[in-house]
Amino acid sequence: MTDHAGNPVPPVDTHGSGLVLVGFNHRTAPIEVRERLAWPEREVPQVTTGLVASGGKGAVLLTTCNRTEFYLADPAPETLSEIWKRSEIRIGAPSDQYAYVLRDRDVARHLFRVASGLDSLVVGESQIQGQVREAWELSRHVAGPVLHRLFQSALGAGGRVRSETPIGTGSASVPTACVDLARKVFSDLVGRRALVLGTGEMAELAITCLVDEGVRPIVAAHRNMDRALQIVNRLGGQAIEMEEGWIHFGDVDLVICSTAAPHAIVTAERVGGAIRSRSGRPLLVLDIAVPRDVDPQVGTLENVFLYDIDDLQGVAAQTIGDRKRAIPVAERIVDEEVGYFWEWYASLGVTDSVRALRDRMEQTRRSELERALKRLGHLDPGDRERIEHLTRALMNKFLHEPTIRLRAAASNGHGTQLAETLRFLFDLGKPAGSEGGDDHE
Amino acid sequence: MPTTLHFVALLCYTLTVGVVVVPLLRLREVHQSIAVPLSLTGTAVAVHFIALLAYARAVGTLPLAGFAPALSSLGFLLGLLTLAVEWITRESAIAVVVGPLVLLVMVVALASGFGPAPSVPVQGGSWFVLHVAASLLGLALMAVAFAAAALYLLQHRELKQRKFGAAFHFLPPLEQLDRLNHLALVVGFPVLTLGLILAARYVGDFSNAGGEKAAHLGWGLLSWVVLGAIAAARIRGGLSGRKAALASILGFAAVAAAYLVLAALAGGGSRFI
Repeated sequence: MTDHAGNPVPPVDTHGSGLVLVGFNHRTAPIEVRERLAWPEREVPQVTTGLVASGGKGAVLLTTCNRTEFYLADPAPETLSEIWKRSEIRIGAPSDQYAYVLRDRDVARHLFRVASGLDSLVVGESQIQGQVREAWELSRHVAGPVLHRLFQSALGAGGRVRSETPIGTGSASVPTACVDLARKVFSDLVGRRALVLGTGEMAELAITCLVDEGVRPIVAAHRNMDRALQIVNRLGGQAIEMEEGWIHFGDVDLVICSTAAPHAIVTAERVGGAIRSRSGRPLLVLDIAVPRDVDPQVGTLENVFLYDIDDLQGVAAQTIGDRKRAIPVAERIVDEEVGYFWEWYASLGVTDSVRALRDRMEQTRRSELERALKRLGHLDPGDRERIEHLTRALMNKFLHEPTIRLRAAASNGHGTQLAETLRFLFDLGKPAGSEGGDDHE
Repeated sequence: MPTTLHFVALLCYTLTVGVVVVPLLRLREVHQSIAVPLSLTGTAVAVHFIALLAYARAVGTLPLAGFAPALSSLGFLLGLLTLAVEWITRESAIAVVVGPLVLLVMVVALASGFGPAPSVPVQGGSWFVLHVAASLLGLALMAVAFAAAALYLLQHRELKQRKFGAAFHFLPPLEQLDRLNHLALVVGFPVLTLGLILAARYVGDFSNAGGEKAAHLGWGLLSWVVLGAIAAARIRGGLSGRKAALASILGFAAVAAAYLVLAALAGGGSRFI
């Protein structure tokens, strides 16, 4: 079990310790572990309800293909045991070797970075923000006020990072670079037709991205017709034999080439006639095969725009470079937003404790004053009022400095511990809502 | 007052051009919201409109009669079309080409001084107004077609040469530029034709006139023929993409060159629009 920097952490005594995160992600767990730890959406409410039932004030489960993270508010030790138990059942081995545990401010910072795409495998990817929102929605009934606020703030921070930096812009992978290039030739991709030569994995990814934009595919396969049929069953469109594909160079808008041919199969001689019949309409040819499927000569034909894997990787690398340059600014925004959240969070316990202390002092003052005034029956009402005033002024004087200092400590992130000490020293009992209720918002 | 307002409009147009040119000067991709150039263009057009209104109020005639006012109106129409294109396409690249054209006509108009030209036909009323307005709009649309064509060729070059720098990211998609060129030509030609038909009212005057008026007529007819030829080729489907862009640029260059030649032939210091 490690912390955020990968250092080992001691067993967690979590009770009353505020925010806790137990997580597994692409840095700590291999894919075969992560895929077992990915809880189906329908099971998430049941899991989080079970965790809160075992102790604590709230739980949210964020589960994606790259991470499974349990966000907990004031969890009981039993809650963590429950997580380890559930995780071990799923992966069939002790799970703590793949886990990281964060606490308090680090939890907030981690979630804000996750929502901003800073912790993603591809920095700045946009899906994660929707996944964070979905996790919060699914666990909303047991999230509690603190996690509710934490997730709302994280989504706000993610939105700020995306709007104030270029971290989420551009295409950071070959398939998204295909979409970007298509958008630079054709402004609108809805209803465009794409011919896919070959059924390679990269071609499938690229055409999936294009279909998401409204492109209709025609998949041409040489030997692997079953695979072509599988793809069109999933994405729509039609599957054809490779030899039928050449004529489509005259009517489609895009061509994606990804065959395993050892030499160029798309040559100017083979498709030149079809291309010349296009009457000036542009044709985008994306050759993602290695070795290349398209003879570079095809790219010199009028209104043909040909790009090979190096060009597409160049577009992606440029985007990744731009995104990396935006990271320092994004981190500053995250720090700022974490600061806002933490100020709110830290003031929660302190406010309750200060109120409890003042109530206790007021109660004591009243009872002591009452007793004293019984013994001082000869005093006239004016003197009685002066004594009442004196005791009240003394109490306020005594409490003024501790109150100020406690609030200051809260804003520096040390309020929770001091508030606990205060409750212990003056026997103030547990704060409101600490018995599992959600009523201290 | 109208001149001062024209200077303010000129300043706003200059700022617009500055704002849209900055991303192109950077080496890497710059993400600029359309809101900034759109607001600046909108402000410039609004100020320009107020300047033209102020002129009309001060002189008592629409800013269509006379070289400088007509030129300023042409600049206003160019600005308005730029604003419309920016608003519809959510792209500001068109201002990179049309913006300097607006600056040029504004500077020439300001340098020429405002006031109705002595040779302006005083009769004709609304026919004259329609003739000038339609002709100026036709010319402005021809300029927009030229701008779209120039941007098309730039983006075409970036795509063909596989350059994915600032220009590639800044310029609009090829098809969008081709559509804009097509639309500007197809709408511009009938508008310019209308302008020429309305000018027929003055044929008697022109037939007897030499010098400036003959040059004016000759230039109008040449513009109509050039625009008509390109628009006809586009409508018939024989011209699109890069060839259409080249034809538009050549056509615009021919019209501009013809203006300079005819103005020179008509006599030193001759100017007309």
